[in-house]
Amino acid sequence: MDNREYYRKSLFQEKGKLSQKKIYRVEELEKSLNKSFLRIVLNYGYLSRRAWKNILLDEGIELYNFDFDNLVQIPKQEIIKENLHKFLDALAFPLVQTEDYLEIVIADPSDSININQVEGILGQKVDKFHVAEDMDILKALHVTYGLDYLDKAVFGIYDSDRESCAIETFTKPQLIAIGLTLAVGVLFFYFFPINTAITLNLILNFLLFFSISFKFLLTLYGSKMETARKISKAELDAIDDNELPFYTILLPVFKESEVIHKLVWNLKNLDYPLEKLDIKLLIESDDAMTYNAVKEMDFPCVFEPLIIPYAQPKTKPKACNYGLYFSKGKYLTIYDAEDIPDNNQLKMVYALFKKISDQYVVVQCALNYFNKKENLLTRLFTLEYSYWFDYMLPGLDNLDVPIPLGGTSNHFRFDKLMELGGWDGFNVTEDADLGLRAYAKSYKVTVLDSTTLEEANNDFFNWIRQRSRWIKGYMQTYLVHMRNPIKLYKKIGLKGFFGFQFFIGGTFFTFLVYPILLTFLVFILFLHTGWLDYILFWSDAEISQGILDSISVFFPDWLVVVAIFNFTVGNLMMIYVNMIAVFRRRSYPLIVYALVNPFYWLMHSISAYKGLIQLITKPFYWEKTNHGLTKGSK
Amino acid sequence: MKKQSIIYAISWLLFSSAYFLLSLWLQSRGFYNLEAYFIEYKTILTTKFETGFLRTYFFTKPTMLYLGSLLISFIRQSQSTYIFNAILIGWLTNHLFLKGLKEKWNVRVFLIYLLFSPIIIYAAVSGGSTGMYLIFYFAFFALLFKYTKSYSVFHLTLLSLLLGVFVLFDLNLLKFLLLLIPVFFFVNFSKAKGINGSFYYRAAIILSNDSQRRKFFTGFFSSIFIVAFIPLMSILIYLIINKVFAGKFFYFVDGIGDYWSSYSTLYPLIFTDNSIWERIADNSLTFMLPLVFVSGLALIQLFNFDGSVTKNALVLLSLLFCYSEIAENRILNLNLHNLTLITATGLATIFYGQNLKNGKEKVFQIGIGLVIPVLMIFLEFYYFKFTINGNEKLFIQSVNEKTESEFANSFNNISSTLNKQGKGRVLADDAIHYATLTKLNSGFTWEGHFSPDFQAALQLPQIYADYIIVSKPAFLLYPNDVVAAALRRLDHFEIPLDTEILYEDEFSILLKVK
Repeated sequence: MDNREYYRKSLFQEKGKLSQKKIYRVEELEKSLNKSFLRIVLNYGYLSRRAWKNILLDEGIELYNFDFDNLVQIPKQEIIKENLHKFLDALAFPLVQTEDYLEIVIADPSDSININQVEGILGQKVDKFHVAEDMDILKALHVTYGLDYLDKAVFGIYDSDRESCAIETFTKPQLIAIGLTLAVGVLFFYFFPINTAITLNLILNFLLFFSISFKFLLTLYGSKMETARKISKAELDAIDDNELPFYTILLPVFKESEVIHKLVWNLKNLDYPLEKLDIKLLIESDDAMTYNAVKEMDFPCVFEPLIIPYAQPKTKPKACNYGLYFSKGKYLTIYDAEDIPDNNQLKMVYALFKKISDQYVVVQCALNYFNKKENLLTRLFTLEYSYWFDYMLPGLDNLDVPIPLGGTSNHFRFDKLMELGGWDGFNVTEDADLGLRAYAKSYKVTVLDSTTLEEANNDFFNWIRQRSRWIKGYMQTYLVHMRNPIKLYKKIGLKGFFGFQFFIGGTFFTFLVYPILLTFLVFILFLHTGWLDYILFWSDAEISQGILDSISVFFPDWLVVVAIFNFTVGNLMMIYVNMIAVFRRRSYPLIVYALVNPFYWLMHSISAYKGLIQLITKPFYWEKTNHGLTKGSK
Repeated sequence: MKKQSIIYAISWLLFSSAYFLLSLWLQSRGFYNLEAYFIEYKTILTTKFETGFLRTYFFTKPTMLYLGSLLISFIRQSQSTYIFNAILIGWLTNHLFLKGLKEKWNVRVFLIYLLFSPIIIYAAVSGGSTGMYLIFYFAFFALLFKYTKSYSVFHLTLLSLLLGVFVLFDLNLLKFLLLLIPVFFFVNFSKAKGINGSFYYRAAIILSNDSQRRKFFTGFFSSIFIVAFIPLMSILIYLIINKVFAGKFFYFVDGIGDYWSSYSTLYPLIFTDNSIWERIADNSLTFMLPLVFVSGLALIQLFNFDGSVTKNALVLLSLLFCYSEIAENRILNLNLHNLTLITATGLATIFYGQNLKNGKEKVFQIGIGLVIPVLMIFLEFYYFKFTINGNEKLFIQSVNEKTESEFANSFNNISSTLNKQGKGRVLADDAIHYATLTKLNSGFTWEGHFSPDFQAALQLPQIYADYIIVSKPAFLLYPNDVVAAALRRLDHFEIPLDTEILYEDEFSILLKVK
C-alpha cells in the first residue's frame, strides 16, 4: 500500500497546470453535478487522460494493472450493484474484501472523499488502495458489476414485450404462411404455368411501381412543408441557458479510434452549456482499439467513457440500452462518433419539445454528409440521404404515419424512451423499429429542420456491408411488426398500416424485385435487338426470334410494354426525387449525378440479397461500418 | 376540415351540374362542336379494333381530353367531352369562388367575372378542348406565382409535373419552358442568401462577385434543368412508346395515321364562315382586335400596382407569348385555345399573384373594382361577336337565338337515314365523316382508317360495304376524302359499282351498294 499523502494542489495545479480559477470551477461542478473531482476534470475538458497518467507516473505512483479476465465480485457484491453509480462517480473499485479487510483501486489518490464514500457504503475501513487509470476502473466496475444492467439491455424488450422482439426472426405462423404461399404458387405454376407466370410478373411490376410512386408522392408531400420552420430564430434566441435541462448524448463506438479526436471538436462546438451535457462514449469492453485511443488522448475530452461488458449480440442498440441506465438527461440523443450536428441543434430540439404536446416522444433531425464530393459513391449517398431526410421523412410526418427513425440525431424524451423499453438489442435497425413501436403505443415522432453532417461511406464494400445491415434490419422490423397484421392495423390505423407496408416493406421489396424484373426485361430487349444472332455468327438460324417465340407465351408483348413503362417511369421518378433533394440544399453540382441512380439501385439490390441471406443465417449479426475512411472535411 | 371538404365537394358538384345543364340547353338551341364528335369517335374506336387504343392514343389531339372523356364515356346521355369540361371548369370556378370569398374586396369583386365571364362559360359548356387548356394555363401561372413567392422545390416540382403531363398529350406546350427561362433568371437574384437590399443592389453584388456569380448561374441552370426534366422525360417516354409500338421513335411525326390528326386544326375552317377569309385577306392589324377584347382582365392587373413587380412581369410575358403565337398563324391560332392563356393569367394574378397584404379597401376602389369585371364581361361578349372561329361564333348565336346549321343537318340526316336501314357495313373516310359515324346505332360497323380491311374496301367496295358515304366539293375536306377519290378511280377505270342514292345534300351523299 502506498502510504504517501497526495494533494490536489500538487497534482492538479502544479503538475496539471490547472489555474486556481479552473479548480474552483471544477469544485463548483463537483457539488452541483455530484461527481468526483477527477471525473469532472477528465470529462469536462480540463485535463487530458494522458496528462493525468503522466502526473501519476511523475509522482512515482505505480499504476495498477487489472486482470480483467479474472476479476471477481466481492462478498458484498449486492451493495456494490445497488450503488454502482456511486462507485462509478467515485472512480473506486473494491478489489478484495473480507470481513476485516478491504482493498480498493482508486483513480485519484488526492481525493479522500472518494475513499470515505467507499468506506461509508461498504461499512468497513479501506485497508489498502491502489491507483489506476480511470478507464481501467470504469471497465472493471462495468464488467464485474454491470451484468444486471447488461441483461436488461439485451433482454429488456424480450422480457417486457416478447412480441416486439426480433430475437425470433420468423414465427411459426409466419413460416406456415410463407410455406403455404410457396406451395400454392408451385401448384398454380404446375397447373396454369402461363397464367401464373404472367400474373406473378404483373403483380411484381405493379407493386414495384406503386412502391416507387408512393415514395415520389411522399417526397412531393414532404417538399410542401419545406419552407415552414418549426423553430424560428426568435424562439431560439429567447432560450435562457439557465432553463435548459440536462441533455444526454450517447455516442456508441466500435473500433473507431480514428474519429475520437474529431468527435471532441464536434462536441465542443455544440451551443449548449457543457455542465448540462451528459455525454457518454459507449465503448465495447473488447474494443481495445477505441479503449486505448481514449486512454491515450493527449487533449482534454468532453465525454464520459462507459464500458459495455461483453455479451452477444454485439449490436449498437444493446450498447445504447446499457448506456440508458447511466444517463441522467431529461432528453437524450444519439450521435455517431464522426457526426457534426448543427451547433444549435440541441436547443432547437428543446424548444420544439416545449412547443409540441407530450404525445411527441422523438424528434428526428435531418442527416447529410460532409464528404459529399469525395467520390461517386459519396455523391450518390448524399443524394439519397437528402431526399430521405429532407423530403421523405417530413412527408411521413405530414401524413402522420409511422416514421422509421434514422440511425442518429434522434432526440428522445428520456422518460418515454425508458417507458418504451429502449431499443431492441436483436434488431439491426433498432431505430426504425423504435419509431414504429412508439406509434403503436400512440406516441408520435416528428422531424426537425436541423442537420447533422455524417461521414458518407466512400468505399464500395464498406457501403455494401452497411446497406445490407440496414435492409436486413428493415426485413426484421417488417417481420416483427407483421406477426399479427390485424393487431398492427388496429394500433396504427389504416394510414399507418399502408405507410408501413410501402415504406418499410416496399423498401426491401423493391430492391429484391428490381434486379429480377430488370434481368427479364433486358434479356427480352436484347433478344429483340437481334444482337444474339450476330454473336452466334456461325449459325444461320435466327436464334433470337426462336427464343422470343418460345418465351413469348410467358412474356407477351403487352407485358413487356408494362415493364418498360414501369422501369422507365419508376427510374425517372427516383432520379427526380434525388435531383430536387440536392437542389433544395443548393448542392447544384450533384444534380447531374442523380442520373446514375439506377446503378445505385443495383448496388442496393446486391445489399438486399446479402441482407436476406444474413437474415436467415445470421439474423443478429451487426455488419460493422468502418468510419474515419474519409479524407474530406466539412 | 371534414365539413369544409363536404362544402367544397357539394359546391363543385353544383357548379359542374349548372355548366352541364347549360351545355345541354345550348345543344338544344343548335350548338354543336366537331371536336366533341371527334373525341367521341375516338372513344368508340378505342375498343372497336384490336390496336384501337394505341393507334387512337397516337393520333388524337389533345390526348388529355380524350383520356378524360374516355373515363366517363360510360355516360351515354351526352357526349362525354361536355361532361368532362363541366367537371373541369366546375372545379376551377368552385375553387376560385371559395378562395375569393375568404379574400378582401379587391379580390371578391372579381367573383362577378368568375361567374359570368363568357370565356369561362364557353370553356365549361362548349365540349371542346378550350376548358382543358384554360385549366393548364391557369395552373401553370398560379404555380409560377407561388414559386416566385416561395422559391420552394414543391412548386417547382409541380410546375415540372404539370408540364410533363400536358406535354405528353400536346408537344406544343413544351414552348412554355421558354417562358420560364427569364422568370428563373430574375427569381434567382432574389433567392441568393445573405444579400439584402433592392433588386439592383443584389444583382450588382451577385454579378460582381466570382463566387456569387458562379452560384447564381449554377442555381439558374439547375432550376431550368429541374423544371425541364419531367417534360423532357415525358417526351422520351413518348418516343419509347412510339418505338415499341411502331418500330421507330418518330412514328408520331411520320406515321401514316398522322394526317388524321392534322384535320383537328381545321375545325374552324370546316365551319363555313366567310369572315375567316375576310380576315385572311385583310392585311391590317384589325385581326388583333379579339386579342384586345380578352386581354382586359390581365391588362388591368398591370395598373393595379401593389408593389409586386413579378406580377406585372409575368402578365406582360403572357401577353407577349400569346401575341407571338397568334402572329405565327393568325387564322389557326386566333381562337380561345390560345387566348385563354391571357384569361388564365388574369385569373391566376387576381387569386395568386397579388400582394394581398397591401390591398386597400377604400370605397372608391371597391366601386371602380365593381365596374372593371362588368367591363371585362362586356368586352368578352364582343370577342365572341368578332371572332373568326365558327365554333365560338355559334356559341354566342345559340345563346341569343335558336340556330340551325346546314352542315350539322347534313351529318344528322345521313346518320338518321342509315339508322333507319337497321344494320350494315359502311365505307367512309372516317377522318372526315366521324360525326356521322358516332351517331350510328350498334347494328352498324364500318371500314375506316383504323380497320384492317380499309385499303381492300377502297378497291372493292361492293364486297366490303353495304353503304358508302362520300363528301361533295362543298365540303371543305372534300379533297382529302380518300373514299371519294377511290370512287373516282373506279369510275375512271370504268369498274362497275352498282349503287343507289339514299340521301344527298350539298355536303355529302349516302350511297347504298346493290
